[in-house]
Amino acid sequence: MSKTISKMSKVFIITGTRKGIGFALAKHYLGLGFIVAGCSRGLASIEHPNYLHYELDIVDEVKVKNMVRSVKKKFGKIDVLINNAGIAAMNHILTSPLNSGKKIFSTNFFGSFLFIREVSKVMMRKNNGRIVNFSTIAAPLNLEGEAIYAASKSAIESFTKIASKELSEFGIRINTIGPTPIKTDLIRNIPQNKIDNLLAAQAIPRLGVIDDIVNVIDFFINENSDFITGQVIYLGGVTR
Amino acid sequence: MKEDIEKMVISVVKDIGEELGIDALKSPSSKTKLFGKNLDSMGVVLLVAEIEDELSENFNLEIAVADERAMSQKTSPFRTISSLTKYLEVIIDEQNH
Repeated sequence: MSKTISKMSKVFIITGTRKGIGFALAKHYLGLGFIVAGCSRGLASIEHPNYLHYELDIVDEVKVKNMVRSVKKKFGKIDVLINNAGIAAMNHILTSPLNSGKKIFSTNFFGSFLFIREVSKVMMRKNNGRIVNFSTIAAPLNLEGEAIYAASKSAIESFTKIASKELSEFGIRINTIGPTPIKTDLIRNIPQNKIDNLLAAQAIPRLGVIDDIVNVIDFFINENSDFITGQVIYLGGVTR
Repeated sequence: MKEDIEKMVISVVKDIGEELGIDALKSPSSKTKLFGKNLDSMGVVLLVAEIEDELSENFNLEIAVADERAMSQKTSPFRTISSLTKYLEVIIDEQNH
């Protein structure tokens, strides 16, 4: 174990840390002195004494179990799980292949489900834990062209609400953030006019920045937020 | 193998009985009733987590002890220590083949 890692430090698991929001979140919490265990399908893109990387597909049940067990063995606890990993896709329903639909649900929903199930088993021993899931404003806005993506994220929202009840007696709080588009790879291929239309539907019409997301996550995982669970907070003033 | 698994299950159930203060689980045998009698759904969740830890640490097996019948009063593998042992034998066997 690195000398810089203290057992007292909070231990985070963040999925999808190779790039984009996950990368930025991992760097942010490492910068605050926390321990971050991240994962992606590829090699690590973060080098930091308090960062551990696991190369895995988040829908590989055995690998997810091994990662969670390994983090538990190393640090004895997991304080925060951020289910960031996800894939987006734009397509018309009539031209959407079944396989791509399954892939989107698999990563966005089942991947989060697996991490929630496994990490909760560790958190329940300490009677304490914070889980943050990712939705999108595409769900409440019912965006055309994003039916499967938005449906997979709506599933996350429902799951969050029910999980908040099933996990509350173990001291686990679980909430979801629904970001607006921010400048990451996920929106790279979306046409500008689509982005403009999307921004027009927000109460505050601008692209999000990482700090907007960090702010909401910090609120969810704050120790004072013990009475906050099962909530979905959208950025940009979007409402259901 | 069956004896080892049953021994492990009995040990885990005993620990849970002591942790949760359930007298009927403090001296368990293969006939001891679990879900539906001495354990509620939360108790089963705890049992699952403990058994997965034991399987990993002492049997070197990474198995999800999850089953669609888990919360069924009639067919749950978690009804008794005996039914749980049989169920674990089956999923361990599936993992090994």
